[in-house]
Amino acid sequence: MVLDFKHASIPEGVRFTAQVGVPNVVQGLFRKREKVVAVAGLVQADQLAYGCTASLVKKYGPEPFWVRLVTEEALLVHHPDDIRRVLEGSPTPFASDPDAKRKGMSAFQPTALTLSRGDLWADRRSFAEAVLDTGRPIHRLGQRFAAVAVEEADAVLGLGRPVTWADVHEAFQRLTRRVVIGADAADDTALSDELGALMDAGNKMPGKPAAGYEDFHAHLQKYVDTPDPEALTGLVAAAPHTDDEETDAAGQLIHWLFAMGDTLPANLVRTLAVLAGHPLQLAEVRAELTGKRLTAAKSVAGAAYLAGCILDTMRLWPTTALFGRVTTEDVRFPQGELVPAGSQVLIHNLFNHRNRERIPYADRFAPEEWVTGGASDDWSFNFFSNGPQGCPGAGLSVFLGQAFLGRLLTQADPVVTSGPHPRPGKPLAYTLDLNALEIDLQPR
Amino acid sequence: MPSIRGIITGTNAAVWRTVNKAGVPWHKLPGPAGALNLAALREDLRHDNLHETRDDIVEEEIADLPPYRTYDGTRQDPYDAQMGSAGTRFGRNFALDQTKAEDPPRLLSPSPREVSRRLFWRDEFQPATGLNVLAAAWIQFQNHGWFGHGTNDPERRIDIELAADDNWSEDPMVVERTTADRTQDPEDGRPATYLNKVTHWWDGSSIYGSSQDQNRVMRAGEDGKMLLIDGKLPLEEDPVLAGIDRTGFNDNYWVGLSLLHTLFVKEHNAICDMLRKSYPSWDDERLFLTARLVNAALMAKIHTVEWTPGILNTPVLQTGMHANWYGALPQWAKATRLITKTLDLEAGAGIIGSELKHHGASFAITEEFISVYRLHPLIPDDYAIHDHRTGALIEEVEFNSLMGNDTRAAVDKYGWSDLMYHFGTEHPGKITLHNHPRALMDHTRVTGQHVDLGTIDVLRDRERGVRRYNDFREQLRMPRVTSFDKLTPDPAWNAEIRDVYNGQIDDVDLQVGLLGEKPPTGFGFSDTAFRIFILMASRRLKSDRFFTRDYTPEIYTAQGLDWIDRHTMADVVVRHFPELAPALEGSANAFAPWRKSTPGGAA
Repeated sequence: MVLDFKHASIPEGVRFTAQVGVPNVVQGLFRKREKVVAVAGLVQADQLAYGCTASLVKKYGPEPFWVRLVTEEALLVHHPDDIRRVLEGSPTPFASDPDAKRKGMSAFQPTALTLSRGDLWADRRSFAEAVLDTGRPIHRLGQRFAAVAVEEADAVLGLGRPVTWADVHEAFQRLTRRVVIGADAADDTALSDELGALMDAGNKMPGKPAAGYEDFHAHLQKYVDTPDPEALTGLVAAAPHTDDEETDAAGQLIHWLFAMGDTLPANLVRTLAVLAGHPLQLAEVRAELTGKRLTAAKSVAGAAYLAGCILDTMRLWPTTALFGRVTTEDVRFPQGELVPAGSQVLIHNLFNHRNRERIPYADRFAPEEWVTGGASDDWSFNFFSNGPQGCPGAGLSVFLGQAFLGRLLTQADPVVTSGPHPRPGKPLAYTLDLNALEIDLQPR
Repeated sequence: MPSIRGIITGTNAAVWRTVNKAGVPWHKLPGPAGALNLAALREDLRHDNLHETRDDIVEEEIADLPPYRTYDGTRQDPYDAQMGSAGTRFGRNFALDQTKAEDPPRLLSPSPREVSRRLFWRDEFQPATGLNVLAAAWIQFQNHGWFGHGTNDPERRIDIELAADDNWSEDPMVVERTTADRTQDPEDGRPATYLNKVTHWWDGSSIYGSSQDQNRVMRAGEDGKMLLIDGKLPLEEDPVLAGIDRTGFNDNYWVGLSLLHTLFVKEHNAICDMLRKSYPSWDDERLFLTARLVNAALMAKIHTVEWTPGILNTPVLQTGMHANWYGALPQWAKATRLITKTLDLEAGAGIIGSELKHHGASFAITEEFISVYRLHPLIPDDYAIHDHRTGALIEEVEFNSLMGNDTRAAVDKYGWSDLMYHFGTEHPGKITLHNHPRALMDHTRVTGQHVDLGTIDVLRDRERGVRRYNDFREQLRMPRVTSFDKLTPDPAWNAEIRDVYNGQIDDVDLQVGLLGEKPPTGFGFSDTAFRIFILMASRRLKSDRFFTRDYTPEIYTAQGLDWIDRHTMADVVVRHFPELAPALEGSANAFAPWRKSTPGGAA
């Protein structure tokens, strides 16, 4: 006797695959493909994806429902209560290593925490939390990291021309190398290039470490073996790990390098572009920062409204549009529906973050919702994932973003000189193409 | 000028009257013809067998018709605020001059106790092999939402002299009379009427109660939910009712009822969760009222398309009951369904969502309906409780250990899963003579009263003016049985009946006739009882605006209608007892026996 969720039809599955699944994959699961992203923007792929999921949810919601993704049916979970159930139930019975993710990440991070299960996951998780100071208000090296962020922001300000995504990306990769590895790696752009190449390979989902991985890992391991006390490598030795080969400290650093070096600056450039078109919110940020020393960790962490700006940008334009879990055993939902072991469970951030039926501020920039509203407690928003497998470096990421952006915004007025101009008054577009943006940071 | 509907149904009825008079009963006809014959019978029954007992009818359009079921059943009908509410009279299926109570000496002739002892006593358990015990508990659960005569009148007693060989605990046996209808003018000369203490509507009052005060103490107070404590209903506080769930109707309570009351309170709460997902701003009251609508309709659907075809297991009834709910025409035949709906031809698009109609008498459960639902043989005496995982025997217990004040202790001792497993896998008793549960023929109520339910089954019909078997059949235009030899298929039983009734065939009580009569093939009860059934089963839907004009997404929500449409009894069981899923694997009807686990093997 199987009590089941509803099933979307085969034509609806074809549409879902075409409008949600395929764009997600072809734009690059791990490293965005610039040209494809541009084309996706032109054809309004994100809007189509939203519309597709919205129509399915209207028809088959509010419960989760099965929808075909290519050849296999996956369970689309969209209500915050169900998302919570899935994410709180990770990694067991909802493991975070569905096939596509495992195959892709194996190319550049085969020992990733997020691909781990059982005791190995617990081992790697406790290691990550210990190094990243997960849950602490301020990382113990926060003071140092804030100074690094301000220095890198100053470098961007010093370019003397409108900045592009590439400029900020480059600066942030340097920042990331300094924060994660240490001063010795500040100029080791080869390390970032190697990771970039491996992530490009990951987009093709090879299912095994890509060529060059061993060298890249050895490259990292050298830094781990000569730690910098003012960087995260300096905290590795004291962090709990049962067996170095199992924990693979160097392997864990990879995730921090790309999350901090690639994903975070993408969100910060978008935040900058949004604030350029939202003068009231920009004024609020500045008011909050007035008289604050951004090299003081407490001042940075206390900039709650600025943090809200970064978080709401992440909500509006999630860098992970669609993510998944896979059931490790048969799971019964509260209404008795059975989800068999091995089923793929999908969470469509791009839809959930903008679900107009649930979120009153779905399509507008609403940093205040993260300060005084209920956004932080809403399980619809999962750009950092959530639950036991929530990003252990979320706090540190936002902190670095606050320090970096805070410095830019206290020193300059951002003006978008090229690309999309997100402005209040009408619903914000689903796509905000980084590569098209050019922002002039005019000295104040 | 007759309507198109009138012409179609009138012609159909005339044709089948002729066929039936020629000695061909509906159940001997092939499928579609049988279904048309049943439709014709229902038309005649609607015309001739619905009689008004109320004299308090005030017909006035109700301005603010509530979009939900009220606690006491008032303001459900758009023009008659009191119709169907708690405390209003039972109706009748026969003209009132055919409903006069029997007075002594006929009231006691032959002795109802002797009828019970000699014709109802279960010598050996006769199982109904197509059903499970859940089906037995289900009908009691539903009945308790439809009718209840309330506490009997201790001041008005009927004394029944015992036979010399009867060792009953007291002589004479004392049966308290049904409490009289105090709204009736004793001088009006009309036959006695009785009041229903619960709402007449199919509104789930067995779990929700029949007044707001009663309902409030069963509510959780948030999210529209009913109160459950550690997954169980709260217990009654009155020491007399110790061990009995506090629920909408808990007379004659036992484990079978506790299972179903708890199950559907859990279902109510699951519906609340579902609704809250779509309507997060709704308050407790709105969630409760909407969830109640959905839950009551789900129960009605389960009864109509699962329980009924389970107990009346013939292709015609499978089709007919499905048609009552969904209509016989497929959903894609939209235009034809619309035409049949417009013409109010229920067979086409179903009663659900059709025009609200009362057919000449205000809606009320009838005394005759209550009589044909005296299905006590369904209850087994012996219960062998098995482990639902392994099939291993845990304990063999008797009915008395599972009822009354022992109910909660039994639930605690055996647990929901093993009890529900028992109810799903074991057979109830066959509805026939010599199959009344012994426990109920020697039953001590929680009040301490010692009763024989077989005696009461016979006596209540006589007391309340429900006609004896042959007269009952005549009122339904069925032929009288002229010879004892034709009463039952068993010559020995016929001889026993002849003896008990001293050779007077017209004195045979309704219950004896119903239990003795050979049912149509596949039927769990007699064709005579079935006539009342086809009238009233449809009427419970057709007279209720929440199953007809107000069965809409605006009232129920789209999600609510979808919930009703998608879920079955098996779904409800598995939702709340997922460990029983293997036992229900492959089950087409949750009221048919489930798969048994065998010791050492899986289900």
